[in-house]
Amino acid sequence: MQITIPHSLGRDEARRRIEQGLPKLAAHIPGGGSLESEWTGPDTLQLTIGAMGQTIPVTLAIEDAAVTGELTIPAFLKMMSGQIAEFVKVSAGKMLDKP
Amino acid sequence: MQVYDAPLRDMRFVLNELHTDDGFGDLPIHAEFTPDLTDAILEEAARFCREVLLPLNLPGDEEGCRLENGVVRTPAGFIDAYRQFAEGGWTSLASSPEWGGQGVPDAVGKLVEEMICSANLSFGLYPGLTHGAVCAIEGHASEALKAAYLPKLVSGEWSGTMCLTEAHCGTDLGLLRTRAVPQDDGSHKLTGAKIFISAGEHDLTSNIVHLVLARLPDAPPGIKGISLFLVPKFLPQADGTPGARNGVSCSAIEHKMGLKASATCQMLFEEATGWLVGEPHKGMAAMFTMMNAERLSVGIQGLGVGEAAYQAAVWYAKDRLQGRALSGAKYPDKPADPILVHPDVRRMLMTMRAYNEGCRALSGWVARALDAEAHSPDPEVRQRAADFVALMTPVVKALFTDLASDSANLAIQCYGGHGYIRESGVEQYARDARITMIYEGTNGVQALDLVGRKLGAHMGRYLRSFFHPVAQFIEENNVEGPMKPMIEALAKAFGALQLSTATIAQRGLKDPEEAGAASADYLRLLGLVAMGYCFARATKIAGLQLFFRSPDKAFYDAKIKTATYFFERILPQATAHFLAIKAGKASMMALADDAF
Repeated sequence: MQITIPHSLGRDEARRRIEQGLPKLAAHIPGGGSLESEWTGPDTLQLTIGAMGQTIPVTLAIEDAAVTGELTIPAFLKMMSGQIAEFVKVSAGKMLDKP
Repeated sequence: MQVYDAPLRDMRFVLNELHTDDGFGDLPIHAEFTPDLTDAILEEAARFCREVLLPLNLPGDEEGCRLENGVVRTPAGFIDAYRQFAEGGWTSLASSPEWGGQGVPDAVGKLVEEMICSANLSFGLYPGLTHGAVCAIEGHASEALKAAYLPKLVSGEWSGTMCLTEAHCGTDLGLLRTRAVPQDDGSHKLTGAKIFISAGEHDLTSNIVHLVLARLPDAPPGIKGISLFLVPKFLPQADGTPGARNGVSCSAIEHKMGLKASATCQMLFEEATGWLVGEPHKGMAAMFTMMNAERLSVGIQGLGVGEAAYQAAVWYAKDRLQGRALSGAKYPDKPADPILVHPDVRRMLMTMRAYNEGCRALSGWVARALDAEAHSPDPEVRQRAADFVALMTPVVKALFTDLASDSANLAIQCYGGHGYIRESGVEQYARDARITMIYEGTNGVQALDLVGRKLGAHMGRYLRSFFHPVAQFIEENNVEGPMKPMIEALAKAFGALQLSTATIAQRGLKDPEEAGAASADYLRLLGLVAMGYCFARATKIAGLQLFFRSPDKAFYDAKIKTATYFFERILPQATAHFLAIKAGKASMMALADDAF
């Protein structure tokens, strides 16, 4: 499943804000959940959201005018695809909004 | 008070969220049945049940059926309700479009069945028996018989029955005496007497189609000599309309403990004209198609009554003011607190709630398997689905109806003295539910079917259709986190089930009475593990929904709390059943016959 979060920050600033926002995002993950992150390329972030024993991998690509995301949603959760996508979009959006 | 509103939110959860990765879904033939469409079907069914069927339940029980000049009159309002039911398309909902049905998935159809049974179980028997007759005719009858009878049965214009039991034989059908004599024109003349025939005679439809077990002149003795015949009340004319009266009549109606608006009849066949369905002497195989469908439906009857009983109890527990909460007045502005605040009342309500939600969850899984068995393009999926349905049919029938009877009695208890009074409406549920543990094969017979036929079938293949997903779920979710205590409890119960299976297999080979002695406990143990598995899945989904900020917080929060109650207060019973199985038959069978 793919998502897009537009921005007007330019690639470098977008990357900086996401890198800066990740620890706060992880700290605010709801009880019992987890967020792991790893930069797998200069502009590619691999997130793993963990909750209720389930992991959901998310790959974010930082581009000049948008952050695009690829979500791997297990069959078990296909009815929740929209919500999961919305969660990632809102979380990424919050990080991009914070200077 | 009888109050009922279909639990649509939980039904949608079971239908759309709970079992999405079981491999039984996404059937191409059902692609048009989107959540929006199925929601609309469920909402309309809920409206019909609430507005048309529920108001007839209590008065129908009070009035009952009566036999007048050979015709059984149903209670006031039933004829009009049935007309609306048929005209609304509810009789044809899950039937094949080939015969005029709507082809709605069983996953939806079973939820509608539950609603009907909750609102008015007696009413539900009329279309319910017809559905079973449709299954048997569709599966085994000649093309000519199918063409002559299925369209009108599916539309609800005609209704069906199953005529098995005779005064001297119910469980042991090999003893039956009804005779069928071949005629030159290919038909048969049937003579005999049947009892306990639901919907055997009534005033709702213009014809009644009886499926009758009988013995041909050259039949071998016992169960292997039984054939199945189609015997209509009125012989169809060339244009298909009912013509001459056949030699089948109702000689008396049964005066029952419950289901009083269901016409349960003693039927006489006096050289009645009938036609063979399926092969000579292979009647049980054909009848079992109907019986297996009916067994699942009887399980749904139990779930329906259990849910209605629960809702009635909740209504009373919120309305009735008695005493103060042990922790201090919760409603100090009222003269007393509603009894809902008392732990013992909560125990009863939560038990009923857990039973209903667990059974609904399991029923949803089996219904998906029914759909996959019939319609999956993948032969391996069809086989796995068939195995699962075969394994779970006796469990659904016995577990759901046992729990329904418990729930109905708990509901009476919640009402205190008023629960014993007819006008409260709640005692009717206990009387209506009681037969569901008995007919379509007593629950003891279901347990024997499970351990005697299903456990060992195809080298354990039926069992694997259930054991594998449970084992896989436990393995994948046995990680640190909020699910861990639940997964450990499920693993423990599942381990007990696996050990019990091995114990029964080993002991049963040497002594069949050991298998028989273990059967009831084993069925309950398997049922508890199945419900536990469903509740664990539900907890995971609900937890994730809350994590991802679902706006439906109240529903998912309640689901987790109900599941937690099940795991803490009900699943531990698994250990008791395991120990009983381990004890073997000795103490059960030790007392000599003349010591009783």
